[in-house]
Amino acid sequence: MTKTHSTFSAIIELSRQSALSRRGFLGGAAALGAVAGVGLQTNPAAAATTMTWMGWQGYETPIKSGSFLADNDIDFQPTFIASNEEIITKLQAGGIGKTDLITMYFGYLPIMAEGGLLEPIDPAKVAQFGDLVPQFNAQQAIRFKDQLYGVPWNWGSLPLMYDPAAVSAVPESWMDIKKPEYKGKVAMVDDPLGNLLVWGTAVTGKPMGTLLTREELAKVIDELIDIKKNHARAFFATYGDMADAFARNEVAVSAIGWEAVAVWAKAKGKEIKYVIPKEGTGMFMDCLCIPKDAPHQDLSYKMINHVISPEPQKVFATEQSAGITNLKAVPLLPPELVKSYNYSDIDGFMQKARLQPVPPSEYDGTVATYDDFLTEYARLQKA
Amino acid sequence: MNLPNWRDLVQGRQAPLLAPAAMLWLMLFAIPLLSFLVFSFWSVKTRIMRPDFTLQNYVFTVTEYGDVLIATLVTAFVIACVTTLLAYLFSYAIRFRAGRYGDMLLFITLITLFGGYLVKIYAWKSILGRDGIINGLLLWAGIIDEPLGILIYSQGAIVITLTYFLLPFAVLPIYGSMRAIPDDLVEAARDLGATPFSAGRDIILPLSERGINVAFLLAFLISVGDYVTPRFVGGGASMMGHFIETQFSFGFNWPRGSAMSFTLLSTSLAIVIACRVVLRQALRQ
Repeated sequence: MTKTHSTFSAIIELSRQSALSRRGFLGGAAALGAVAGVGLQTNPAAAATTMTWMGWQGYETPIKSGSFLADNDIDFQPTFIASNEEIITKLQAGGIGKTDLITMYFGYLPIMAEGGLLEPIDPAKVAQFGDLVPQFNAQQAIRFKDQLYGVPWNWGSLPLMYDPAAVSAVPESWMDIKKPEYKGKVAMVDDPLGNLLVWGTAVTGKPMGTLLTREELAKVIDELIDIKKNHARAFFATYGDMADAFARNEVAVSAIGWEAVAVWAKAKGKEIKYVIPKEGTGMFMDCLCIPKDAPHQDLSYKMINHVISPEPQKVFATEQSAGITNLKAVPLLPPELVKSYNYSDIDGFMQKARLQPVPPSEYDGTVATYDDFLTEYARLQKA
Repeated sequence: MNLPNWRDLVQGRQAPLLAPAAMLWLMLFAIPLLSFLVFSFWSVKTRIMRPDFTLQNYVFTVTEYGDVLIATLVTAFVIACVTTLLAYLFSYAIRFRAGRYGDMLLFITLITLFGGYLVKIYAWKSILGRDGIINGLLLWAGIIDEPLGILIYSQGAIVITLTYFLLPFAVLPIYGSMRAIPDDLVEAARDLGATPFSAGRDIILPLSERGINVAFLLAFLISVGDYVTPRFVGGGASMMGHFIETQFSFGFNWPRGSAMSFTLLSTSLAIVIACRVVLRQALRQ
């Protein structure tokens, strides 16, 4: 308090000098700086280590849970994203060497590893790796050249969202959103991979909607262009915008979804429901990854171990209505959440909502590549 | 005013004083820009940039994104024209018509600069939305029976939002030019029989040329590079900046993104220079 008062006094003293000479001003500024410096020194002891993290808003809650940050003397600095791709941008634009931990959609890991954006993870340093859902640990996409690049920590699906007050019947198929009654009331989101995860299967009937021929990929994009031009209210920038649109009664059904949208809409007073249509949908699994040259890698491992331990997993699952990966945390969850994510039959859940890799980097003469997908997706964005 | 020439600045006493600013300019502007120019001729293999000299990125930009480039330039041109026209009329009103209320109007203009960019976008989303103020007023007045959906998520919404955002930036240079016009000059023209319209056309407009140019330049260049506003109020109407961002992010293709940036930059500069020449010719006729 005293130091603060001194700082204010110095400011007032400076402001009183109506005609400051340059030397006088510099002297005053130096004095002020000295006072401010002393003031700063009296702040509560600064944390020893500043750790930077990037991920979706809400994903930081398990990190903050318990006494982990205090125990390890960490000054936690989160950066929230609007899309997974934003993390890739930020890492490439100077984030390498400054970021300690990120959360990332598993499908992007091979590309990011190939692009030199990630550090390989030593499973021996992740004590509870063996407690995670084996189906997730077995995913090839969390590895690149036989090295692990991500630790699975939450999952969910991309269901069809609908406003029960605005639909005559619960949609059974993705194609139901094209019914005349929903014209101009369909919500789309500019989520490149998400749209492919959903519509790749819905259009072609293939279980892996991301592994398509170039002709099939073009058909999928044509279908999405038709929805965008003739049925959609808007091609929203984020899932948050979609939740807002539901809350404002601007849309009735969606061409893509995320369980979290229902949570956000509910916070705005709107009841939204979701369903996995008969064609199935995409499933997402987000991983904890250590960016290349992360400055505090030992602490990054500690943070990973904390986040996937049972209590923080419970905190995350209950606050975000999300799926978690540590099987030892499942008994701690409320029954309705256990039922919703069908932990007793994850294989069954994965039949309806499928984990899919990103399209391959190199063309093998059959399957459209990631670059093919980006070029086609640009056609949708331009439409 | 006589400006010192370059040699005097470098050899004279000003050189040490200029050095910090020059270093900042070099490090924060010139070197990054030149780096991206060099990148635009490189190639990418397995997500990693490789030094090269290829024009393929420029060919790709023109063939794949020529339509978006033209649409972006047209949208930005419309926004710049509307903004400059409104800014001119507003500045004229402040300088020559508002009398003692002029300063207050200028203050109100400056106040709008304090609002954040995203805050303004979300404000317009609320104003133009189905349950927004405009639809509410139209419903209340009985002009419409149900809310209009076309007010937002359209090209018009982009023009309105960006025009609002850019208006203060355009008003300031034009008002600055008009403040430098002596009242005597306008009064002399009126005394010699000029109507208010012809005095405005023959005296005020030519003498405001520099301010108009700066206002147009600011409005055009800011809107041509913008991609946030179209994403949030355009409902999917994308401008070139969005596709450039894609190349730099999950496209892992900085060379292509750089080529797209320099194509946009060079065509924008060509349009700005052409507009300046046309304006100058028009004002001298």
